[in-house]
Amino acid sequence: MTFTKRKQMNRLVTGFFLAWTAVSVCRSADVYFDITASQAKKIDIALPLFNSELSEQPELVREIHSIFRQDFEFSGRFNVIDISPFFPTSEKELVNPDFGQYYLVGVQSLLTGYINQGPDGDYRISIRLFDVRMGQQIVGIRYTTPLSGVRSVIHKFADEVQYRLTGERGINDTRIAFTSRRTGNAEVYTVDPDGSNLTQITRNGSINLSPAWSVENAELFITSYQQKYPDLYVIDLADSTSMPLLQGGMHITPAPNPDGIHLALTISYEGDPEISLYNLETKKVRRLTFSSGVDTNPVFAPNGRELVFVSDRTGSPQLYIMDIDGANIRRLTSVGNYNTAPDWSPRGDWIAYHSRRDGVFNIWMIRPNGSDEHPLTSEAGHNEDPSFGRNGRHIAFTSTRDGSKGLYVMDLSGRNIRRIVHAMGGCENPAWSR
Amino acid sequence: MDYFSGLVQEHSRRTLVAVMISTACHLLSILLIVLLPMLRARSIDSDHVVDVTLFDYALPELGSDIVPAAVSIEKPKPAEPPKPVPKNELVDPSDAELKRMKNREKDRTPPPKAATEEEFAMQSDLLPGGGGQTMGSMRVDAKDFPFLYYLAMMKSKVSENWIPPFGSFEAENKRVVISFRIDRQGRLLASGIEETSGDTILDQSALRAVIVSAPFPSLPEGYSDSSLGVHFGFICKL
Repeated sequence: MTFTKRKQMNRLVTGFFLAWTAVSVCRSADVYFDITASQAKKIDIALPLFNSELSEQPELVREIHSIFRQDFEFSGRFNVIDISPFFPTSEKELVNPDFGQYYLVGVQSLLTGYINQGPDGDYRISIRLFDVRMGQQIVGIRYTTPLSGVRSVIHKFADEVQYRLTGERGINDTRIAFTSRRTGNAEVYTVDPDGSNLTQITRNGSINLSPAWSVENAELFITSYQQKYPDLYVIDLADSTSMPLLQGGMHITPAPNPDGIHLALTISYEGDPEISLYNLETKKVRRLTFSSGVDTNPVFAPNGRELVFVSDRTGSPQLYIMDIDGANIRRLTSVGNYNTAPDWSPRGDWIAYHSRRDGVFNIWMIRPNGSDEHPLTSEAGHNEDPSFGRNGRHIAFTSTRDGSKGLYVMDLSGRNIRRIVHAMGGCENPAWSR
Repeated sequence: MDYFSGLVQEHSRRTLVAVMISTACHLLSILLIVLLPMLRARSIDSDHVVDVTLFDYALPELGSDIVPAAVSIEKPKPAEPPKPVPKNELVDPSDAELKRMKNREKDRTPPPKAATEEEFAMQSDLLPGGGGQTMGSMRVDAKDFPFLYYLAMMKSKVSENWIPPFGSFEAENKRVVISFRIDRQGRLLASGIEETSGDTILDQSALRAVIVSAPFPSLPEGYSDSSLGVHFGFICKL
């Protein structure tokens, strides 16, 4: 009897010891995340309304202001400071603002602008970014654009501001490609990350799948059934002409290497889908995987030397990483029995994918070494097909949270969710330009 | 008392001793776990695990003989002071390439006089996330580099790209200085370890942070030299 009691006591002590270890491990993890958060310190930027001689169009001035505000706030790197009492009134003030008053409010950067209309009807928008502490202009650009191009010009300057002040390119002047069955057929579309400029790219009335941006963002690689088979095409976005690259058999899920020369894709070998490498210059194909199961959905690491891909070689679809020559295959995910659709962050630090657990799809993140696995979405319909923006701070994905499958963007905390495309007959395969 | 119960008694006595030793060991471990962080907390300000902090010390001029030969950061010849730029001019987007070419030409012109160099002491309180007064992190090789926004940008970008050797006690509180030079377009011309921490992993993690961060945005318009030398100090606080 006493023996069992002692044994229990011993177990209790051991349990306490284990619990304590767990607590201390958790504590150190908390501190780690604190640091990551504190490093992304936001920059305070003052954004007065632009001056304009177009007194008949005050709504344009207000729209420009709201586009800038949305872009800065969505970037996660800026606090837009309201400084309405100090709005500059004269053109001289736009060029040489009274920095003292901005400094007193604690603003680090100031953006001023002037808009007028030329004789040809085009708008001239002059925008300047100032460093308030030193009273200097950092960059000033004059754009000439028709009314339809104003939004894009503001996105461009917002990205310029982010680049000058953080060294990181913004995501506002980018495009997201996706497929939709709006017309009854699966066609490829592109859209701005704020939901504007929706453009239909393919019009072949066939099935078009898995768009992928070329390295320079000038072309889209897609799989299209226009010749009855899933063939690989490249679309030149300048004139929307498409050209077949690989035909006959199955050629799906293209993914360009950052070197601009190679393309990883899935090719079927006698009914067995395997990862292959296609050289865009020599037009030669090299098979990389040789498993008996399905190997598909390759995506390159930003250094171009490794690939993450999906394989069901162990019975359920899981993520694997291998070298670009097909060697050194190692399993990345181990929890859950359905992990697919990977995308590797351009920063290299995360791999996003979707995982089906209890019948529901959600976006998950994992480090390339298999650690820190965690979900970004939960309890909001099915969330699928993540695609990173070019600075690795945002993810585009599809979701059924508002009914039919729409296109959404969120940040890496899983918050700041922005709906981009909704009610278009189901959006699939988003791919964000880099 | 039969043989069996004797065995049992002997067994339970041994078990008792074993349990006591075991309990003592566990209590000691728990005591250590509780006390060690307290001791450490007293010696180091543990608010931040990792900090890219500032330190104030006179760095040798880049390119002087104190820079290790292996680093070989050559300081390009200073360019001719540019003709006064009209204050706060505007650039047409299409002119950007033209301007870059002009800058390149400017870089090639020989200097009439060598720019003198002196330490540019940065006010750490103006930097976002800047460290305390006792330690600093950046210094540039320029007589006059008032573009604090540019330094703040570099600091933010490099520290975000730095993955310190977590869990390496060897790296704790050690300091490594990376020096690098960027051209007008913000491209990395050269980089190297200027002052080793003695811990290779820490040194390499810092060097990698700089290399991954490049290219930077182009140097400020008002800055006349064709390139900028930067010294960046990394301290690994655990």
